[in-house]
Amino acid sequence: MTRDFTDLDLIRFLYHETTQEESKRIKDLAASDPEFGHRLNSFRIVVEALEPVSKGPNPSSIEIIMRHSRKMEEPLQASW
Amino acid sequence: MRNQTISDKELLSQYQSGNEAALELLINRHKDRIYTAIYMFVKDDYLTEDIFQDTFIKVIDTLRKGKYKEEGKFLPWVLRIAHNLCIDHFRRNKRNPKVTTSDGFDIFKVLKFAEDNAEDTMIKDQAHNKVRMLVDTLPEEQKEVVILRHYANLSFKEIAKLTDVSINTALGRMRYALINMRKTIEAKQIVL
Repeated sequence: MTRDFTDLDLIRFLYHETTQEESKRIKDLAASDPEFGHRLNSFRIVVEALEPVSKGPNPSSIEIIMRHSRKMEEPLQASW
Repeated sequence: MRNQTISDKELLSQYQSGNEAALELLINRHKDRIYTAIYMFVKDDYLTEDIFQDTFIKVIDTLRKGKYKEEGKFLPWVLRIAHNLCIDHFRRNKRNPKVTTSDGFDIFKVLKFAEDNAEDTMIKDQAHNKVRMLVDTLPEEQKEVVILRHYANLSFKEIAKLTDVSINTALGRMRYALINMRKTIEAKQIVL
């Protein structure tokens, strides 16, 4: 039964790239089949472990970028 | 301005028509994902700030010169520029990425966590270091997919296009990355 979904499917599920129907089937299967649930959790643990890092630029970087934009003398040209 | 309702494409168009504020909105919309992705590649706060600035300067120059011909989305395009600049940096220096030590003085870190207390800052640093160490253990191709999917929030389809591989290859690299990181967590008994 667990052969219905490959490891790649489970990774797509963990990153919310499965369809609604696939997601429901994976959730149901994880709840009813311990072996499948264990396989899913073995990936989920690592994905969740990656969560903490989120950083942002210093406001001065944004200011430097905007200053560069303002000082550009070339006229703006639309390309579409 | 209707920040969340205006698409990236529309903001780009507005910027190309002379609206500077549109660029600022675009930068603010995506800055953390781009910054974090660069940081995970180069692992140095100073260098990340430099590459972040250089990335957007390149974006601006391309847009101003009317050379922007992307069919795809804004974020993958900017991330490709950032990624190329990271690669250029490593090629120029002909060395492995530098790891910033936690005891080194870092003015950006001090400014960024100015509102946190010392304990919060220490806990954040420890968590960052553990995750960074985990990602660092990966081969380059796997590391690339993890950073682009997890921190830059690109889809596997977008990653496949950016790195010129099939979606299954991108997914397969992610699979090996997750398996390898799990082994590292178990082998080193890392508590996250």
